[in-house]
Amino acid sequence: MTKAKLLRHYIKMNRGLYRALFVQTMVVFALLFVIANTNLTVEMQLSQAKNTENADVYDIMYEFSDESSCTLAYDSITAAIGDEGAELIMKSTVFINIRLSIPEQTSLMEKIQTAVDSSGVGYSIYTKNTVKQIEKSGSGALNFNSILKLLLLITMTSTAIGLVGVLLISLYRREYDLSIQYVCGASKGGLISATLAEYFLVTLAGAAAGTVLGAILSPFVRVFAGAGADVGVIPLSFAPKAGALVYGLFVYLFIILATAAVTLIRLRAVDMLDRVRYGDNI
Amino acid sequence: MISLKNIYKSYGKGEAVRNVLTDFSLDIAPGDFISIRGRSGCGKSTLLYILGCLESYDSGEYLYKGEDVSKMSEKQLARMRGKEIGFVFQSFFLIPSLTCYENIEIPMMYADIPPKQRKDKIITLLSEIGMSEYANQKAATLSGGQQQRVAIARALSCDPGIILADEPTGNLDEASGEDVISLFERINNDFGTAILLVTHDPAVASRAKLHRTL
Ligand SMILES: Nc1ncnc2c1ncn2[C@@H]1O[C@H](COP(=O)(O)OP(=O)(O)OP(=O)(O)O)[C@@H](O)[C@H]1O
Ligand SMILES: [Mg+2]
Repeated sequence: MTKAKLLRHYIKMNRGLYRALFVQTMVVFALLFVIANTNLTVEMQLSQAKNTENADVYDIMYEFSDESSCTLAYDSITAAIGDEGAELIMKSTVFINIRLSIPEQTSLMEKIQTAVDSSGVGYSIYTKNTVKQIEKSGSGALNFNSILKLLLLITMTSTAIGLVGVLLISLYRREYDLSIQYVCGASKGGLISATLAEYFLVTLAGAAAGTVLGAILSPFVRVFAGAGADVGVIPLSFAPKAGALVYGLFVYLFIILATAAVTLIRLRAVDMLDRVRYGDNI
Repeated sequence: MISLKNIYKSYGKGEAVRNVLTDFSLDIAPGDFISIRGRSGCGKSTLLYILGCLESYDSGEYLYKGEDVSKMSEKQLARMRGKEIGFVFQSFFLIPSLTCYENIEIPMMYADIPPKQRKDKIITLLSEIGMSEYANQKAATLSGGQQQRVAIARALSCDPGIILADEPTGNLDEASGEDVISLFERINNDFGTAILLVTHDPAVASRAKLHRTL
């Protein structure tokens, strides 16, 4: 018997509860990853546009039916505006589109408009304001994303509540065993950290599995979401992977901290001797 | 080895205060076998828990091998419980989901005894209590007498200086009780382990070398 073996023993013993813990963390992380990787919200794009170095940028987005017309359009625009500050920001992998960042100049905008009219590839321009209007009117893609977000919110809330429940049950069950270990020479601090290590391991496994699941699901969801959206209207963005990671870490920290807090409060409050003397009756 | 001087212990506050131990003193030397008797509720268990570093006391002095127990850190107290003191309870108090072998190993794990050394010791202890063939059986599935013998082996696993036994035969039939008490005698004779035995049974108490009434 080593401490690691004891930990495995308890994970195995509590497998029913821990399965719930695992699945809940997994679902949250899969959802997180999918949302972050299929981010169709216009807000995201707008905030990215706002965050580009030049504060006065026009964010202009184009949708094309194929890659060659995308290139053609881009070339004709850059030819029209020369070196006056147009910059290719993104080129989508899922839908062919371009985003240009252009300093706010009426003359430039006019040049671009002319280029657009004369190139004949049939694309439309969206400025920041247009995008805002699209956002307000609410499109299929936006709704889809809001549904995902709502789902995440519900899952996270129920996970948080579920986690506390799972932990309390598993703790109550464990107190008898813990008090025996206490009598046999374990310190309270050692028992608390051993218990926390268990939760940490289980949620870590859930988070890892959820991330993998999310990564697998993301492309499908993206295509599905795209199909539901009006491609001609909604500018699609790209996978902000770093954002997903940060977001995921944040949620994971939240889960760990919440569980740790519950465990600490409970175990600190437990009188080990009472468990020895009076069992569950006090 | 153990010296309790003028120990006071009470439970509750104000009007509901209950004085359990008042000005209690006791000296235990290595190899002592002491029985403790007294009417129900007089504080025998409380005394054992104080000796076992599980319960605090209000005033007085508790020295273990000359060291003041009240000045020990949480870590030191845990070490006391694990290495210096062996506990045997009326209701056995084994971890039900672990095997006999594993239950005996628990204190050794917390005492950081190397695994090789543990194995030899556990095998010896199991044969000592006549339970070698039960090594891998879950504690929950043992009979009461068997559980108590495993609990005694567990109490012995770190070669403690003293065993504190709180009515160890209270839940056992006569034959199993006899097994347990003769096991205590053997431990006391062979290893020189001091034993403090709380019991209601005069026949069991008479097996001790020294007697004390609370
Ligand atoms: N947590 C507690 N709070 C209040 N009173 C307590 C508590 N624990 C024990 N007592 C009281 O302390 C007294 C001594 O209890 P203890 O268990 O030590 O008695 P005992 O001598 O072992 O009795 P028995 O022979 O029946 O086992 C009892 O009167 C009991 O009611
Ligand atoms: Mg008692």
